[in-house]
Amino acid sequence: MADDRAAPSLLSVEHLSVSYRTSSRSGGEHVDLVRDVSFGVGRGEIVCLVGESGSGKTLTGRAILGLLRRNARMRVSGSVWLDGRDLAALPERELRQVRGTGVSMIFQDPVAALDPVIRVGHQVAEAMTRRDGRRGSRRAVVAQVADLLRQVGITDTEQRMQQFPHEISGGMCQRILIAIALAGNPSLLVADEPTTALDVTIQAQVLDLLASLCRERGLSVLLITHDMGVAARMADRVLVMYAGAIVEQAPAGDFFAHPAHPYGLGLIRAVPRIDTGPADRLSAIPGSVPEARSRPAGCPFHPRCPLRADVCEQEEPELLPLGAQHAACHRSAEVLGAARSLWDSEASVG
Amino acid sequence: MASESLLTATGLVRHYRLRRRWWLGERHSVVKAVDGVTVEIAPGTTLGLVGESGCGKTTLGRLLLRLDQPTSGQVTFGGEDWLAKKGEQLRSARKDMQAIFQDPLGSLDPRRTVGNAIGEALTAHGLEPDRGARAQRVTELLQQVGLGADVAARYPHELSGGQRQRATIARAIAVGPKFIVCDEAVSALDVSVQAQIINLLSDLQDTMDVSYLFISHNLATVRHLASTVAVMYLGKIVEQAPADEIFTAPAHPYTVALLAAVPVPDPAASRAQAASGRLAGDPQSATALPSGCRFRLRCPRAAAICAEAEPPLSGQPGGHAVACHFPHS
Repeated sequence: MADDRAAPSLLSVEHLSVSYRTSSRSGGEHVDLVRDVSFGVGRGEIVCLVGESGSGKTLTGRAILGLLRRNARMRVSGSVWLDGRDLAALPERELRQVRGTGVSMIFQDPVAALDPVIRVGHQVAEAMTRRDGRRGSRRAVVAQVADLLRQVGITDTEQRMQQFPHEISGGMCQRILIAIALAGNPSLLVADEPTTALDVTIQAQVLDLLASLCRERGLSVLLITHDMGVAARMADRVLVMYAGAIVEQAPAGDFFAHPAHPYGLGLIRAVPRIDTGPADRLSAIPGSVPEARSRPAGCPFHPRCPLRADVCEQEEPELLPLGAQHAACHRSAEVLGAARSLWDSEASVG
Repeated sequence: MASESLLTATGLVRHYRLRRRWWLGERHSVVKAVDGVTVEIAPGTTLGLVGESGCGKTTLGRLLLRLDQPTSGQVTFGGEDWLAKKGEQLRSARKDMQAIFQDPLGSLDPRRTVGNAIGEALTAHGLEPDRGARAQRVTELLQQVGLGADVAARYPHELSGGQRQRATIARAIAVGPKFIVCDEAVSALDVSVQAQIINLLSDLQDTMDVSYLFISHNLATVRHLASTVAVMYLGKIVEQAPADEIFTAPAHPYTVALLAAVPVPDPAASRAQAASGRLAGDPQSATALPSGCRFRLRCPRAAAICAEAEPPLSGQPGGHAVACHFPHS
């Protein structure tokens, strides 16, 4: 939770909740999409937020930047402290100043995130001049853009700047987006599945780039991903999200060596691997994430869990400390101790 | 080996001519999407086809499915000349060859229920003309892919991504195919669901004795299904070997690089991997291939000869074949 962070936090999210009221035709009920989420991101730290589609990762990321429309149907509560300022309480005008200079975001589909009819160099320049609030000489801006593009690993900058998004590859587009995100020199980057749409080889390049930017600039990253391989490569700390809540939080080393929640363990085990032998079967987690409107009572994971007991069907567990880790599971002690074999005998669950 | 093969493609080529008008006239260029590919798939086995976007793996799948016509080359399927089939003959033969694509929402009609979509596959091939028997068969198929009978009455948008992919699999197996092309069939799914679908495909192979061409950009997903793996780069197969050998003793520098790029859910291993070196840059354009070896501009082992002569795919048939002047050993 927010209380035991070693380094002073750059970002501190406290009791963030997002709920949505369905239209009156479909009942007009409140659906909790993100439920009481609290965590921190330290300076220069990479925190990975992992979970399946529909678990609320992207909403959490967008809520941090204030990108969720605040209207009568969507309700966002809680605080988002960035560098001592509560972004959740800022009016839209001031929030716009913070976006880009305090915190930036990059998205999954890099080609869609760029304007198709504007040359990419111009798009980077736009982000840069917005930060300064004035236009420098054309020459100075071009030089700055070229410099920034080189920092994100683009070599033939002169030529690249003149191209349109459709003329360059997906990996190159993602580098351009990273350049745009960094143009305002933010201290935090929220990266929502930044490499999911890319080939594995290009994914590796982009991840290497993000890791080196963190090292060199002291940039903090909140990396949202469903790929545990990506999390293992990048994370200092891992947050596991399920059904809108954080169910496990741990330093990456501990998490991958001995996860404390059966869901975290299931996610790790489901990744197809090449470094171990070809196991006959992959250990899949049966079923899928429950819809927010029809979450089961008690622990939301219990219908899919190989360890469920009676208590799991009645009481939702709290996120409690367990050594360096935190887990929201009634039986986390057993998960920690036992159970690499947990998901091997899961055939009857489901 | 050759006699028992289900599908054999020999020297398959697909070139696309691009014509670009500009103010002084026209410019022509040729995209060599598939440039001389030979593959062989035995009954009940899986050929894993791996490569980056744009390497021609999808085009190869489309050529085998006859969704596109090859520029040259031969395909034999079930002992017959597959490319010579036309009209009604081709239509009825398609029953033996089905496909599963990446985006299940895109391959299911949004205005048809799942049961209706699967039923259509049956009626199109004149199977189960009786309504009641057809509904019964649809229910069986849904159960076979791990879906409840109630799914038959639902529309694609009501299902999760994993359920939708199961539905497209049910439709593909409805007509009892001998061969299924799975083009990035699990790439759009969450890892947990990905594992479910891979397991399902492997179970279906055991019960139905069907063969797969499993196309993916991720070598790790291929590992659990493939008996043979072919690695493709810019229209050519650069390495082909039994699955175990590809993973334990990769010979082509490109295969080695692909293996090193697969994310591993283990922090120490994955950081060691990152430190061991990466493949730089993007693949070259298929319209302007480099001289000699197509991979040489990104290859850490490239030498003078690589710019002069294109290495042929050499090796013993059915064994480990590699197209490189300086393979790893």
